[in-house]
Amino acid sequence: MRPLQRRVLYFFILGLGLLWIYLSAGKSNASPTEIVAAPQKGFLAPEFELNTASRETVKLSDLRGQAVLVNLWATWCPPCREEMRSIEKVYNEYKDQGFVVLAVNMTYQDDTQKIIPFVTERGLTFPILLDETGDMANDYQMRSLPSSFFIGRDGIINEVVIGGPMAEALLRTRVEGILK
Amino acid sequence: MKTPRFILLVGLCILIGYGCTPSSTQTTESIPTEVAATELPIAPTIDFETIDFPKAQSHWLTVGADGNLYLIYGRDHSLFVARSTDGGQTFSEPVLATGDASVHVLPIERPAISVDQAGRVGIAWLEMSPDFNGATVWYASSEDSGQTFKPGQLVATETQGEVAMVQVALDDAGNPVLAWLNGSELKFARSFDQGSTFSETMNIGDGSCECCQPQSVVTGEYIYIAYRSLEPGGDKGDIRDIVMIHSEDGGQTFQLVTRVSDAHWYLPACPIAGPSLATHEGKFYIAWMDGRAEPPGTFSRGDIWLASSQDGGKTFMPNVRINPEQSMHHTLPSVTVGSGGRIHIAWEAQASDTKEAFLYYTSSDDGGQTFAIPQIIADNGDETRGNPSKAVLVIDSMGHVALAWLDRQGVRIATWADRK
Repeated sequence: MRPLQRRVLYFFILGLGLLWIYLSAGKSNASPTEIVAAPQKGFLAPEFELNTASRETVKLSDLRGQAVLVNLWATWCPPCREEMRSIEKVYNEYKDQGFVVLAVNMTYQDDTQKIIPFVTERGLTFPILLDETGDMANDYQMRSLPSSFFIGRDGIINEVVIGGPMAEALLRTRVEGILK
Repeated sequence: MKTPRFILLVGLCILIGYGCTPSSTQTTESIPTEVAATELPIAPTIDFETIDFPKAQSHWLTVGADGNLYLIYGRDHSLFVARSTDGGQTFSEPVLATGDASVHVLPIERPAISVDQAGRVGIAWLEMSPDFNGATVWYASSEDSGQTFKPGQLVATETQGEVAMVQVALDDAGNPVLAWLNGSELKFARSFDQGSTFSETMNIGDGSCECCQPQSVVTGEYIYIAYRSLEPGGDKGDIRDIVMIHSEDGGQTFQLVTRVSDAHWYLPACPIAGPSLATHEGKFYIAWMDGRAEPPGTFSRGDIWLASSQDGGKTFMPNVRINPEQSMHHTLPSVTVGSGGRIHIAWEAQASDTKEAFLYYTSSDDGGQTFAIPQIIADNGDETRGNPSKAVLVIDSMGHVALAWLDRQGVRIATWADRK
């Protein structure tokens, strides 16, 4: 093979490689699989924007700078019901220090007629958000109820608690952890 | 000459090192190598038709003893029933079965329906107290295969408690047998006059998971109820295993519970997932989800398990994991058995690192020892429909398989002919 032919062959192979890179990149852009922020300790809490029962909108990222407890619950869930009074008590103790509770009702799986009476009966004063589509539950990989996410002022999840009811003392310790 | 060789080397490195490596953003492989390694049979791709029931909020599908397929679904505080005589390809116009009753309809609770050999259809439902503390349990029947329903008959009044998950099964004579939950108590009542009057309510189990639907089957004088138990487990949370309770005298007395799951699964939370029960020629098959692979008290994903009993439900064989894939969360299985003994299972799965959700189907020809590689019947690629969930799988005597599920639009039913 002559030097010129050999050089052409080399450049042809290099060109083929570059073409492969281009096509591979194009393919992955054509069918992207969205990677969501993980609802796990040490990760940024996945963003959500939900309505309250009174149709006000709450966006998680608007609360950056505050310590947030995101609590996933339903009216038919016994441990959820049991821990609500403790959450209300601790919320009142720490809210002036920048502690916020977002109690997200799994409305897409709940009886909407029961939500308001449930909240009124227990005198809950923190925002009750409604996940009407299940999207938020999906993002937070809800597998069981209750599920609680303690989020620091920087928006990073400090602790995930699966199940309940959470003891008041333990709840206090966790809240103090995210208020630091 | 050195430069072209260098270029050739770089080119080859690029080809081998980059071009042949899968992109990191590719979809998670749904069939892991573990299954391929065991050389399980690959079922042929299923070619199915679908039919929709828009705006349904809850559903259940059953094959009646008359051989027909019956769908019941909840919508706007009412229950509707539709019948199919062609294996689910077409359904009759849905009939309002609950009159002006205010039915408690919840997506996590499956409406109750059973059909006997004569085509008598029995349904049951709950009506909540105004303060949601307590409820009434109701039964209604149809004598004309679900075309018209009699007015509801009061079965029981629960004056207090979180009442949920009512189930009904008809015996050979068309007498309804009902079970439901009040908190963690498993309640039972039955009729001996085809639903005109009912027995006193019995408490047949004190430790049931409050958010997990039980399932019942009646065979002659034998009544079987599978449910997720709730046992105190100390610091690690409650133990939520699957058990079965049965009666050999038509519900007058119940035997001690039989343990089905060998997991001792600790979870201090509501997993929202009851068992699925099927029976065939005296054998019992129970499928369920649990998260035994994770440390006690944690729960990020579950697996689908199956246990069978060859001695009339007295003992169960060791648990067999059905889903080969072990990174997604698999839950809410539905099991059914065809006339040839083939076991069919469908369930839902959600990816852990993406928003993908699937409905899987598989079958076994060796009594549940091995299963074909699961096939995806539905996914959440269509955002207007969202996640396919709460699968109900049935097969009629002609080998028509029907799989019903719930999504944002309502109920969708896929049907196909079982392979020979």
